[in-house]
Amino acid sequence: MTRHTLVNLASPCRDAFRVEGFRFSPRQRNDADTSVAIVAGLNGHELAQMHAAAQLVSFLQTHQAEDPNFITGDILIVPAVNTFGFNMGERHWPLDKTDINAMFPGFDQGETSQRIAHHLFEHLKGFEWGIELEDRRDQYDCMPYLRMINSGFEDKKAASYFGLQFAHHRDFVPSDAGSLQYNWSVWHTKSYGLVFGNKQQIDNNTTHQVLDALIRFLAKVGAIRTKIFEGYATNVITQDAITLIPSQRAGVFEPRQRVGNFVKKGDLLGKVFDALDGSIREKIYAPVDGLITCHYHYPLIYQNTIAYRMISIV
Amino acid sequence: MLETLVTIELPVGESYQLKRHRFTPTDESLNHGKRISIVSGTHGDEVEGIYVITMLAEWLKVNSDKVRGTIDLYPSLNSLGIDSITRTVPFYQVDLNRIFPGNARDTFPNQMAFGIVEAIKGSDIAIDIHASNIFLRELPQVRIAATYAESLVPLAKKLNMDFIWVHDAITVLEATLAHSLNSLGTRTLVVEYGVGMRLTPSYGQQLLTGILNLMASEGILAMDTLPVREPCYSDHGKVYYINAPAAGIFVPAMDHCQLVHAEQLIGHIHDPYGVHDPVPCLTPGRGVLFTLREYPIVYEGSLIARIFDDQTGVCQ
Repeated sequence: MTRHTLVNLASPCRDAFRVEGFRFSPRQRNDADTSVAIVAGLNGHELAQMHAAAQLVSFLQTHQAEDPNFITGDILIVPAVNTFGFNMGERHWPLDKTDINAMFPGFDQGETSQRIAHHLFEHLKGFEWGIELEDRRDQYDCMPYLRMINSGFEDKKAASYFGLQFAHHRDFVPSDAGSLQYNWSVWHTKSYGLVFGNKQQIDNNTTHQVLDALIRFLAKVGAIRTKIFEGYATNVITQDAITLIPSQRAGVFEPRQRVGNFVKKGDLLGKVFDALDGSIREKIYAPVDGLITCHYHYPLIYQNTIAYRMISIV
Repeated sequence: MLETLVTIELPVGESYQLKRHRFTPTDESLNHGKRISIVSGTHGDEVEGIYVITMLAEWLKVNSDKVRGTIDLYPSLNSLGIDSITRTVPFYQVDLNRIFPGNARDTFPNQMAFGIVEAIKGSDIAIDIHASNIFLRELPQVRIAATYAESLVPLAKKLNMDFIWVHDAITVLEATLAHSLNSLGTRTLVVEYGVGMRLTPSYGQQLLTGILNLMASEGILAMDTLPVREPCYSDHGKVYYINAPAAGIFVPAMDHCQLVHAEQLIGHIHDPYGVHDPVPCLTPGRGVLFTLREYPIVYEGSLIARIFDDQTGVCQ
């Protein structure tokens, strides 16, 4: 393993901003069977994503030390991009609040976060596979899932290599334009978003689940040589299989079903209480049979906010 | 007439309300049928537009006999942000002007965006007033996506602004309020000037004159048009960007809004510890300095200034 500073930017007053990458290669890099880049922490709330990526670095380093032939592909792992954000509890670039993950492919003569994106992307271009570990931008607890953007360059078959239960295949939306995942696909890297975890929290079970998925993927594309249990036969779902269940009222939200639960139409999913007098404002019921994939994860809920996301067999 | 168009319940004892102040002729037979919407406050750290709309409302109350159409005023779309100096929608940290047209069945900011579009669509003209952010001071200008230049530039010239900037269509800007309204047939102008969190009353008065002139020329106000300035037009020149070459504290050496020539000193970037010599920032070409850094702390890449090199001589 070699460690590289991929981005280095002076700060007016504090320590320099540095993005570190960990590179694993076969003994002869020309012998690499494939190449994979894995990037986490594009925003400073993605603690679970940073931790999972760092655990993968540790796993690969340990196994490479034990077996010089363990690494068979060219692998780059970047556990944390917005390190300044992590150290301040800030999601975005702390000075101007811009989202680094909306700045790709970047611009070397542009604003600061455009330059960060540019310098980073120069190191991320050209990989056969690209995996972005990310959280949801809203307040949800979700089953880990894979996201594919309909770009003409996504690989649905290889999505199953992760062995996750679900992969969400959706159309491009304008806000994808500056994301790493989308720009990878523009540069012909087969890219995935691996979405999991809650903002600013780390759950050990989820970390291990994601770590397993990443190791399984690396093994199946030929980047590492190891044995691992098979995962799920991944279901690739589209929007028409998803049911959104909003809360009709605002107040204190009490979820009564967890992600991963199968529920039947009419089952109680949660309650919304009046925040001040404690009365029940609403009971939320399942409108269809299906699997709970996400639920709202904050005690206060706004009116018409999606409380649950379910998927059903269509 | 003050109306509440959208009400979204908040979790603890409050609702978000989208309000507008509508002016129509006291005698409905005088209504020529045109409708204009003036909006501001998409970003909660921008208050220049609120000031203009306030002055406009006060003018319309005194001059209600001149109204010949429907004039809708929306001073603070992101009212939670305005009341807390928060650029984005509080709690969600979402830029409201990057999620239009919104969705009635999605997050609170998406519901806001959906309700705003539903309220304004159908207007013949809309003016979306922005200040700059807290980092930059801007000359009064109208920004127009190239796709809509043909229909919008003639309107923009009536607004008494100093600069009309027609820019390339960028995919991410398809999620702005202006793009949504333009695509729905409401000719929408984006005005930007001043600086975040502050008022520039002279610029506000300049825009007020422009809005009154536009409404007069469109027959929405029964009055003579007003004399307005001829703006610089970006199609007839070149825009230079000057980004910080180093991190530090930027100290300007010139005032905003002046004519500059090539290789002129804009300011220095100083090292707060004084180890490194100050780094000069120079103009790459001649023109009008229409954007200047207001907030002094910079990283490499922070925007310092923008200059418009006018080829027609209008700006000289």
